[in-house]
Amino acid sequence: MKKLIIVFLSIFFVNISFAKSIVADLSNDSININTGFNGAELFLFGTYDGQEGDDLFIFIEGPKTEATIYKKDYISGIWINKESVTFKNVPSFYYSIFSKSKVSSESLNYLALNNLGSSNLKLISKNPQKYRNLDDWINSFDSRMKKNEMWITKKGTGKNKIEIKDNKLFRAPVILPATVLPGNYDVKILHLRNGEKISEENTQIFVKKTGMGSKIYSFAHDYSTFYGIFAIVLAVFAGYLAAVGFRKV
Amino acid sequence: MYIYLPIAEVSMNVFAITGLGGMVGFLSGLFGVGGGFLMTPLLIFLGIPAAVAVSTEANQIVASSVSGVLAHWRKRNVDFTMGFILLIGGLIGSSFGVWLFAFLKTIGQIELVIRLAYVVFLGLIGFLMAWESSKAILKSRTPGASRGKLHQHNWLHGLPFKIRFRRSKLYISALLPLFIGAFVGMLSAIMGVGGGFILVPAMIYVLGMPTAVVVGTSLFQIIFVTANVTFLQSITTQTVDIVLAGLLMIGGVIGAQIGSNASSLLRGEQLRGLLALLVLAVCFKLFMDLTLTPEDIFSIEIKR
Repeated sequence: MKKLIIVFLSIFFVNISFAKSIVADLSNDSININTGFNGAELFLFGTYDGQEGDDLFIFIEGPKTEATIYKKDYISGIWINKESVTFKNVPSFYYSIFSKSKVSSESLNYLALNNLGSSNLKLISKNPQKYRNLDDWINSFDSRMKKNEMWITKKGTGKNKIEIKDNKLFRAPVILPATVLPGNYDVKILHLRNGEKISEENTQIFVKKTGMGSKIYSFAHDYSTFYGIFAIVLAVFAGYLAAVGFRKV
Repeated sequence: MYIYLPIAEVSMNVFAITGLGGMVGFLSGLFGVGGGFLMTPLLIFLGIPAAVAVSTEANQIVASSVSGVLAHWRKRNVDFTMGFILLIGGLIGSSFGVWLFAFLKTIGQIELVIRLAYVVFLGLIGFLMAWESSKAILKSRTPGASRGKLHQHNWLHGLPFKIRFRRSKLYISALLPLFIGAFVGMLSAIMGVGGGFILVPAMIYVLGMPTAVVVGTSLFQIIFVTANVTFLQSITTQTVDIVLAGLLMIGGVIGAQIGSNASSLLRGEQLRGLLALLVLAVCFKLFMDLTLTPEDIFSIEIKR
């Protein structure tokens, strides 16, 4: 009996010593944009082996796409989009969760070196030689993406932010707005101590269009000629039906 | 109850959309106007992307014009010769309009052009309607007002390629309806309207057509022009949302029936005055959006 206990204890301690890695899961890792879709809320939760003062970061990066920022100018009495800059490979969605509201400079340094967090993204303009004040444009772009809640950063612990228990368990809400693009969302959970990586874990959220809506969308884009004809036939039929249906009333 | 519109890619309340369709349909039934000129800006106010609002509204107008033209066809109030010539112009104009639309979309100016076009035309028709209804209200109080001439010939009617339009009892140049059709067709593509609000007065005052055949003939032309816009927008910009169009059609059909029944019960001039005020209010809102300093001079567009 004693032997057995020792065996169990040794297994337990071995596990503890290797338990530096993060174990995480999502309450829902496949989001369907269907007819009733109006955004989604899910939870990311798991365990890590932390100490007081450690940093835990979560980054969720949406599909990359092209994005254009327009600047309006007052021209002969009206506001017109005048200048614009188009950036390539911009994450359409970027969600950052910081476990601390004040992150040490060492940790910030690590994030900067690894291009993590929306402010550390390298934005590349389509024709960089054209703009002298590209940094100003990038700053404006960054702040508008945040304002539109496409890039979100939540710092500190608490409700609607990350919740941490005993430096071991964590739980964070992830809110995807109704405007999210379909695609794979890369989730990275990062555990830092004094700016050094202790462990990281990567997972994905799959966002896809499903149901009638996605069929209509691909119909419209892949068979646009038939779609156009279909739309007209539908309208003619509806109009005819309305005329005939209400004639007898 | 929310529905995710597949082409507009926004989530909208079903009742807000059918309600809007019903409200505009009610006004259409009440006044015999198409309603596209109100529907498109209201859809934009609701948060539908302007490009989708325009193309989808063109699709809905196909339906409302089909249901409208059948009644006129039965009464033989369609001048097909005139309709065909207006239509040829309309097809040319609307095809050019869709091309222009796609071009403006790529350079990021389509919202501006749509809004500007609305400010100009809503302002114009709102003002004319307000003027006319106030005149009508005054006239009903002063009996014995004189009648004007039915129609006058001017130099425009004498341009080459004269054609006889039997049902309209006209012998005028075909270039004139061709040009009018083309102009209205272009507006149809850019603004998502049938264009009846330009076409009807143009047919009466410029072409000199008898009022009885004007509405039927314009509806006949509008069906094909908006169908052309629907088709071309589908293949060039993919901005026709059939789910949105379907919801608007449902609301529109019901609203139009209630409206046409109500029209016999209500006083015309005052209501026309109210419609004028509504049109001017929408115009004013669009105008202010363009001229007031925006909350944020930057805007972002994400390629989907």
